Amino acid sequence: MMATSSTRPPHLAWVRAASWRRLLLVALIVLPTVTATRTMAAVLPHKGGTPLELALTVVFAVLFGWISIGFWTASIGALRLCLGRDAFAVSLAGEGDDPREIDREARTAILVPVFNEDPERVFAGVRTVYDSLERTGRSDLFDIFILSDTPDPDGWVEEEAAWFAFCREKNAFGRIFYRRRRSNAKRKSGNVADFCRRWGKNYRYMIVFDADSVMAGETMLRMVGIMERRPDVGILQTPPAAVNRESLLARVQQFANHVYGPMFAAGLHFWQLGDAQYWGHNAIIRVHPFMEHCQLPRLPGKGPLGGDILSHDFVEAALMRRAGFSVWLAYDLRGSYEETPPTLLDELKRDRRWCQGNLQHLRLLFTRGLFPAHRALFLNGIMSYGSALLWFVFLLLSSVEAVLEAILEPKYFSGPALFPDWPVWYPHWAITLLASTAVVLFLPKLFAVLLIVLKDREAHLYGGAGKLAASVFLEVAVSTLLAPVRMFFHTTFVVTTLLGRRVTWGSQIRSDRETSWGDALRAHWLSMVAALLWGGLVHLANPTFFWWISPVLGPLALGAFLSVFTSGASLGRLLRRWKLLLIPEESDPPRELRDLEANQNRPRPYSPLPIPSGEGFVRAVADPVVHQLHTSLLLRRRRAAPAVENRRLEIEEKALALGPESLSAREKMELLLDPFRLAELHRRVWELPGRENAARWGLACFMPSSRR
Amino acid sequence: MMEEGPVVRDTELPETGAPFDTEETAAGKAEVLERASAAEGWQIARDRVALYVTALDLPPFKGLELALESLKRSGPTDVTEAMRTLRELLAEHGLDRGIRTPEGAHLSSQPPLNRGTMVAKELDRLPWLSGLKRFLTRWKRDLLGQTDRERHTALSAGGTSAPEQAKRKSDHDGDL
Repeated sequence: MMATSSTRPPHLAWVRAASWRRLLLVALIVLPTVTATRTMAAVLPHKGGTPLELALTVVFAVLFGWISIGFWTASIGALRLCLGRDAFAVSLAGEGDDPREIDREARTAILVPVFNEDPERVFAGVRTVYDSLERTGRSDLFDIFILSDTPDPDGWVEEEAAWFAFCREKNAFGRIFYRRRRSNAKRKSGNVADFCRRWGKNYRYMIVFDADSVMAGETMLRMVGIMERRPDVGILQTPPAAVNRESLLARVQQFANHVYGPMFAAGLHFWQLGDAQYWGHNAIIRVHPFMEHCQLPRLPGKGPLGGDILSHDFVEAALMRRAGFSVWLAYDLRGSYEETPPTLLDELKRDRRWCQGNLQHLRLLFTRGLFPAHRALFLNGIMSYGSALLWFVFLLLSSVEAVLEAILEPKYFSGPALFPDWPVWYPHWAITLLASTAVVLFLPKLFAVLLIVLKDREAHLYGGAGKLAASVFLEVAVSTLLAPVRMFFHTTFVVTTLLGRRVTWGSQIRSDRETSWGDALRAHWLSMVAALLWGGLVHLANPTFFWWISPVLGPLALGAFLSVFTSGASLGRLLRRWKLLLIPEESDPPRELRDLEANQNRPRPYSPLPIPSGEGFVRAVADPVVHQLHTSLLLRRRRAAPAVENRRLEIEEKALALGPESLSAREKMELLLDPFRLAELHRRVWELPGRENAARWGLACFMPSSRR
Repeated sequence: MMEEGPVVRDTELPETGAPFDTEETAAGKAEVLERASAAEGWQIARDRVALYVTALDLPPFKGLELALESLKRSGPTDVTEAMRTLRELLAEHGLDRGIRTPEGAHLSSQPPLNRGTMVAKELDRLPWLSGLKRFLTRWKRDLLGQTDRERHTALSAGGTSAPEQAKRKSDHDGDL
């Protein structure tokens, strides 16, 4: 029933279908692109005859081809969903199987990699998943691993305490595990690889989460069932639905994800079949071949394109495929959720990392043995950010062309001809081109609405057909306004990455925190000044062209305002009350999301010590239970070198004299790693004579007779 | 029970913070201050011990009994002595051995190790360059024959003769 071997499975039936489909995609992209490019050249004053116009035409061709991919993917996805049953859908495997019959040996680890996340949110998710698995009756197949890369000492202790409280409450010791790495080498991919090296042999599958992922137990059981039925599948990706955010921007993203997402996912599946992508989370992986074939090497060189591979998921999928295992997108599986960044600045911060990671794939494009489909996916990832640069170049060249046309005197006799060469402007061609571009961009949105209203008959889940249509208009408006801002930032990311600037790895903000004006102005001042200068120059030289380019420059000039405006959670909540941008998970929340909300609102466990949340180090020193827990979980108990001992002693003295707030994160970490010093500090803190000194460590008295 | 131990009653101690009589002598002031300090120390010790057993999350009676016992043993003294006594008591009752599983075993947040390997395979990112390099190497070998180093490498790799090694390598390259 299953394959533990990592040998190459036989050639599969879907491969031929995929080849024909991709040929069709190429034809569908090339033919309209050629037509549109010819029209574009004809619209230009010199019909593409000057170097500037030639460059414009080439950039336009690439961009039109790029947006055509999206158009055809959405169109074919809509058609696929209309037609119903898909003979190649991976979810057909094991359909109708009884989950109770899944082999007991199909042990599956659920991996929750965390990096400086809020432990309460992480364990609210873990609790939700655990309870959901319990309800399936097959929770015996699953273990949950919280794989921490948290470098923050306070966060470390808080995670341990949260793990212990959860396990004690559920009696889940031996089912829920917590492991923290001291060095977060290779980041998430290194974290997962570390799990594989230590315990991968105990499991046939692993389901990889993000810190904010939630999946229904039924869905995970179904995924295991599919993997059992399809031994050729190495990675099975689910399409996560974006949920749980309240800011305007995030609700726009959630709405787009729900309305257009299923159509795009079906379209992607149509082209990719078993050559699909792995998105790094909400996916199940066959552990043995993953360990054998998918370890990532370091790329040579020190620049941003060298070193550890940041966007590891694409590469892991390509390596899995190279090893002969297929990678599938289970586009019709539900019950898989994630959260989106709440603000534009958070989204851009994430994009900065992704941009560098995707550009690294430039160095892997020609790697021996990869399948062409995965090379195309690398290219696709690169173009996700490269297209912004091309769009920027296109606008810049257009502006230059417009300014030159206004400044330079027209040449009526460019050759030895008898008749003058009149510059002729065909406005209807330009309008046709604009309209066809608009169709390519917006027609898929109409398809998506029609699918929801007419086929699925689920408009009521989006607030009704009228509200759904209004929400689409709102989404289009917000996306259109933000597109130039994203373009500018993505262009900056690409250029700075190619110039050699590395990005630092930070944790993702996962709460609805609004952007302040100060933050917005600091982030957007450059784009705002650039837009004002650009617009001013164009307006001076060619006022007509200014109005053509103003839809781009206007939002760019208002970048800070848009950033603040779209980060508003109150605005998002107001729109939800008006049933705008509503998603099915808001109108009829599934059990898992209801549980998640309830779990996030659970009161903190009672503690007589008034230590605020986030003060993990103080808890490890002062709270006897947390102290015992932390020292119990420290694996190494050997004495350190004398120099290190002395340094730690000095830190201990400093902590006692000046309080915990006087210690740096590094100093706190030193003490947390040393059970002897920590125990000594614990003893001495509890013996502090004065009330004020003790209060610094949370030892404020609770007795009524005490004076504080 | 309280009368049995060396307990300082609240009534024996002055209210700390009470205003001093300006007519008191310096010696009297010192005595009052000392007594006030002792009272303060005693209250801190009492509160600290009680707080510790509460924070330790012991069963209620057990915790309070231990706190009482430690205060009885340490007497009207400072917090250091009270906490030291409490620690001794906790050790006597086997409550200082850290956190244990419900079965009484040492608590670990991780399962036992079951080591596997995960080694990165070298990626040939520029296959045309490596192909050209292989071609040039073969060509050079055909023209000039094997160098001593190549011969040594071939022998140490498989122990077979040089032509066989060359053929094997050529076949291997062809497979790739």
